[in-house]
Amino acid sequence: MNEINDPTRRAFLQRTSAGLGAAALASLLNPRLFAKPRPGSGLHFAPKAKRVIYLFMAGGPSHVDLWDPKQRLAEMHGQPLPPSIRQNERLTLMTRNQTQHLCARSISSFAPCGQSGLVVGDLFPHLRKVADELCVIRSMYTEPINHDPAVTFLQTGSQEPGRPSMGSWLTWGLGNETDELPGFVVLLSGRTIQPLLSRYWHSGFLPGHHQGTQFRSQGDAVLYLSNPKGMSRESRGRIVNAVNALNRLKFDALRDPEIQARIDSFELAYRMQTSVPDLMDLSREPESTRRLYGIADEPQGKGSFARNCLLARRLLERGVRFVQLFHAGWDQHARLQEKLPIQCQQTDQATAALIQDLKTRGMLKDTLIIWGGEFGRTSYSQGKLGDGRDHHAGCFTVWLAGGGVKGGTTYGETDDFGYNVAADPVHVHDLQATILQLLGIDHEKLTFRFKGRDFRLTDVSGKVVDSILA
Amino acid sequence: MTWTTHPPPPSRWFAALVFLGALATGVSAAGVDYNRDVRPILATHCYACHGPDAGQRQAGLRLDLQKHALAPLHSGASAVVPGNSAESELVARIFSTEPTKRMPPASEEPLTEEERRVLKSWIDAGAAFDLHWAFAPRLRPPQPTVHNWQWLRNPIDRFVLARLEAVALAPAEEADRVTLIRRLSLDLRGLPPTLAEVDAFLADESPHAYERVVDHLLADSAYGEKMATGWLDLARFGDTNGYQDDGIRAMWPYRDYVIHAFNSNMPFDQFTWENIAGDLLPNATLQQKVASGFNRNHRFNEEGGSDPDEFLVVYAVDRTNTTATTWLGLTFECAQCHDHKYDPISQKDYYQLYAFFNSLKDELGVSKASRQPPFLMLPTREQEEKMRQLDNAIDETAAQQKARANAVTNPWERLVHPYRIFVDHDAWTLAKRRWTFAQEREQVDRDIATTMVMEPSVPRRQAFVLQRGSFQDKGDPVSPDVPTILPPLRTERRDRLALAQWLTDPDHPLVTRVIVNRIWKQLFGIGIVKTVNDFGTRGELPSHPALLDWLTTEFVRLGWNVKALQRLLVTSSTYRQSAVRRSEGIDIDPENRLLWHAPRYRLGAEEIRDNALAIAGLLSRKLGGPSVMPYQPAKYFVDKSGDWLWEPSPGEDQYRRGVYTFWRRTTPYPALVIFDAPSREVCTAERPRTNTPLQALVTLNDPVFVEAARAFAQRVLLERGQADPEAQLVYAFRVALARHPSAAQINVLREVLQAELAHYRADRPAAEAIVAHGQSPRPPQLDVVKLAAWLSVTNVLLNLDETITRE
Repeated sequence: MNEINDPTRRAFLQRTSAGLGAAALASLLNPRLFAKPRPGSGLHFAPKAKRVIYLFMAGGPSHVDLWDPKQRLAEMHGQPLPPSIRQNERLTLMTRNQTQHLCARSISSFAPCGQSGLVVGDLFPHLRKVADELCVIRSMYTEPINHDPAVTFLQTGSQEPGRPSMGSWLTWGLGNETDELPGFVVLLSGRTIQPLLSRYWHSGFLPGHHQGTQFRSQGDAVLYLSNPKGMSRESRGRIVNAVNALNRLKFDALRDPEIQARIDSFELAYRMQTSVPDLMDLSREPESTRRLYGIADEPQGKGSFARNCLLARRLLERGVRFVQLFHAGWDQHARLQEKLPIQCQQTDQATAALIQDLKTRGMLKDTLIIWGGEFGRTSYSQGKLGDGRDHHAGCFTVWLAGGGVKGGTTYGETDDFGYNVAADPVHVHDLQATILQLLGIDHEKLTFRFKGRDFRLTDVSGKVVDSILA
Repeated sequence: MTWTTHPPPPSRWFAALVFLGALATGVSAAGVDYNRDVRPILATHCYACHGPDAGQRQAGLRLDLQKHALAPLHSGASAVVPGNSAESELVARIFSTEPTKRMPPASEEPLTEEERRVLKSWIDAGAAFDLHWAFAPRLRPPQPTVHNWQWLRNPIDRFVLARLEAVALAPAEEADRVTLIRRLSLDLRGLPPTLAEVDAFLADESPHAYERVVDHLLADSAYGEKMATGWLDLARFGDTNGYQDDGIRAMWPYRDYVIHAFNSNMPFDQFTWENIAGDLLPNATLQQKVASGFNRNHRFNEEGGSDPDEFLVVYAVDRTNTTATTWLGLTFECAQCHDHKYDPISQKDYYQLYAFFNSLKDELGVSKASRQPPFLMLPTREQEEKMRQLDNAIDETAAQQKARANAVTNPWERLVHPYRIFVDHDAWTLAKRRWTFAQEREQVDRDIATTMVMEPSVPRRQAFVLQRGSFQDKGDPVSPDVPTILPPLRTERRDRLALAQWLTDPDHPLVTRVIVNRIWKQLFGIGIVKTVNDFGTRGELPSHPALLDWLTTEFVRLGWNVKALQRLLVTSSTYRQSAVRRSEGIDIDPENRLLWHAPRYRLGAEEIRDNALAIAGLLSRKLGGPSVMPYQPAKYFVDKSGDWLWEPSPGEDQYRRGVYTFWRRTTPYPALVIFDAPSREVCTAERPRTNTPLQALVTLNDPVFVEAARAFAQRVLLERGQADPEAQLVYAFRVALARHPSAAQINVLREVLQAELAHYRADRPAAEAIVAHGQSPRPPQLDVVKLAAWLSVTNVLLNLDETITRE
């Protein structure tokens, strides 16, 4: 996929074409439409990870119920959160005017797991088994307190729309390792009142083909992939051939390299019509694998987080650089005790399976897995005691696993109530800087000039969290 | 073979600037020119720490202004000593070999040898500073002399040819007539020419045949729709509120206003006043108030728990940034949190401009209401009539009630008056009737279209400099004013109308340059200033500065007449060149910045749709009205936002132009997005033009295009039913591309037709299925197998590179 106005490429093509027939030229150039491989080189350093799966838990998972146990919170259950803890933290209007902010104990119990003794809540029984792979950052913090700006901030480094998302930056910077699939693929699951916006995987001012391509769970996986009803594969082949034959005649007359790129686009589109359904067909996975992910009994074609995890692995195997799963529904303002376990149940087994599966295949060592939401949740109750928790920007938990991170470790601390960061704060831009670092990129050097300014994912800040790097 | 998707490294960037700079004056770089040679180096390497941003300034040194650059530093030395590089600290530092002294510091991109040499020679030659070209006054430049005067059609050609002759490059020959009318038609109205138009042009032997076509196209109502598309990107027009709830809003009256303004050729200065301050114009008309909705098109947050104060700031910031991008072509938003790093715009300048926009009557920061004040009600005539009738009915009933009450004379009845209604049957009936009328009246009220507008609050809300851009961190109070680098306001008034009039002052250095450049880009693919959204010091220099300034003065002289300016552009020899590129030109100017041939580029997202529908004969030419919903893949929203109503529009509305497509900002219509349409969440000055397999899938398989192929096939079989297949293929080719096909091209199509006929003869159910797509009627007399086979042929034609390309 090309920008149309690439003078160097045009000039090259034009010069070359003077002495070559169009057909020879086509085979000589054969632009790899999605690909720009830089195998193993990284941009600025040797990369620890070559590819990424970002498991985005949209809505704001409750850190005190899942990853960050707080004895003191249990002791103070039902008592007001001390003002010394609350300070002037900005609250959303949902609880700003609440008369009391009562401490609410965690709904789960915690235990050290694996050889490392990493503490994981009991809502994640499967993840407990892979605890030694996880690097849990408990001291994440962010700025916005509402979903849309907060997700946008994590995805793009800015709360306002218009900047490229992380996956776009990475494929732009590192290219792709397949010419058959887009470098940045997005998979969605979970149902919620908070929609997942296209902006979250948009390419902003980067060239449009670095935008995340959503592979859909229903209908065509890729938009408009199927031939219309009544059109056979053979007819489609004849049509694409004729289009390209006529385009070649035009190319011979005008020598516009853009026509050559169009020819390649049509050929790839035709190939994707078979390669994508093949990719999406999980029935070809062995029974044991489907059991591992917990989808052995799921009907084909049903979109779920677990299926998406398996698809993610298949995408990475085929050379896709960045796969991002969004699982919605982590926004427990009410009935947390009932709803949070459902979220965990939907994601726990497949997340653990993904880690195990990648490890078995020898891919975990150079695949970075990121798990987390856009913010955390308050350690006090929203509504009546024990009902729900509100958005909380002051601290939350994110974990990393795989390529280049120290497994079986925790990093950073929150205070006794899980309300403020107490040690080793990690800002959103710090996390982004660290992710880029793992992929061999200096976050201050991956810049794109737009409207006169050199933009970067980490905006004007960001510090690599060195101590979590293996 | 792959291609780089990386930004050019600084050295290449610099080389590009030098190349452009050389283009800019048409002379070799022997003499050092400040704007062309020096400022780009300083802006790239020095301004970040020694530029306009006071907060980041190091060592008290500021290099973008002469006064400061020449002033003594703490050390006593001066950075720049005119005529004496040996005494200049700047030169000492850039040539220093000591790591602690050397500039730029080791952490930054170093200067090249060439860059150091340029700075040194500049200082030795006297260190002349000039105002950045875009801030400098515009003068009407003399027209250059050229050798090949026979090529000239109007003054534009002189400027272009002078530059070409300077590099010994000849312009391309004129394109053939068919290419020209298709180019004109796509450029001026976003639709292909009809065969009747093509044939009329080919037959017209008068010397003014070309101009006649131009005038015909400019007068077509499709022109306004085409022009509106680009403007609506700037105006970030959408049909939903854009934050996560993304509720529906009715702003389409603003869209229709824009289309009408372009069609009626409203002078651009007036268009500016109405967009920025239509509500403040004396005796403002309804349409002028609608126009002020330009600055209400920003997103609106409906999310529970959001802070209204925060979002009132966000909206005013959006208005400020959008206005600055649209009219000033400046990256004003960079000064929201601190002084601008590269352009002389202070943070105070930013909030002074912001102060024009932060004070609206009854504005809400966050709300779920379907109508956000201030707004206008826009009843249809029927609704007005209905309201009048209901109001009358309510009044009459009220009068009857009163009469009934007065008619009660019995003292006992009077005594129970308050409860009379329950015992008096007539009174009860009247009350019920009145309530029913009132209910109906409310329903009519709810059905009336509204559109958001600007309306100032009284007293006005105080604006402050917001520290680091944070709404919670107020600094000094500020009053509305224009940026200090630009000419001052000429009036004491400090409202949006004063701002709008200031923008259209004939002496304003920036606005006409920005507007004319944008109009140029619409016709020539690349702006004279390539960075259409950045005319600041980091933007690219104009490729033809004299031409740009000549055009701006001509534009003002013509009374800000957009159509007249476009007519001038398209009647030039420059515009009429062929798109064929010769190898000698590719070596000298591969990007065609010198305009040695006509540009060739893919159509815009809406045009790709419109073009297919027009070729198929499906396109509706209905103007205006509420946005419509074309076919969209089933369950397109399901993963992202659950059920959200997208009901394909019935009848004619299914085949409206792309500009009328319902714009759901958080999940925009996919077939437009895939062809690079923006989400319109923020002001967009430029769309990228990509070329991807996902686009191929749209034109191959999207039901819109499949139905277009069927309708196109029907058209051929109905309109050329008696002709032989050869003639039918020629006809189809001409309908799609205006030109005649070659024998080789016909051969390709004939093979498809024959193979597909054989295929569908053998598989009639497949034929039945493929011709069943789409809502439009299928003439029963057409043979299904033949139609299906022809659908494959027309599908080929609608997918050709040439079909979706303007050349």
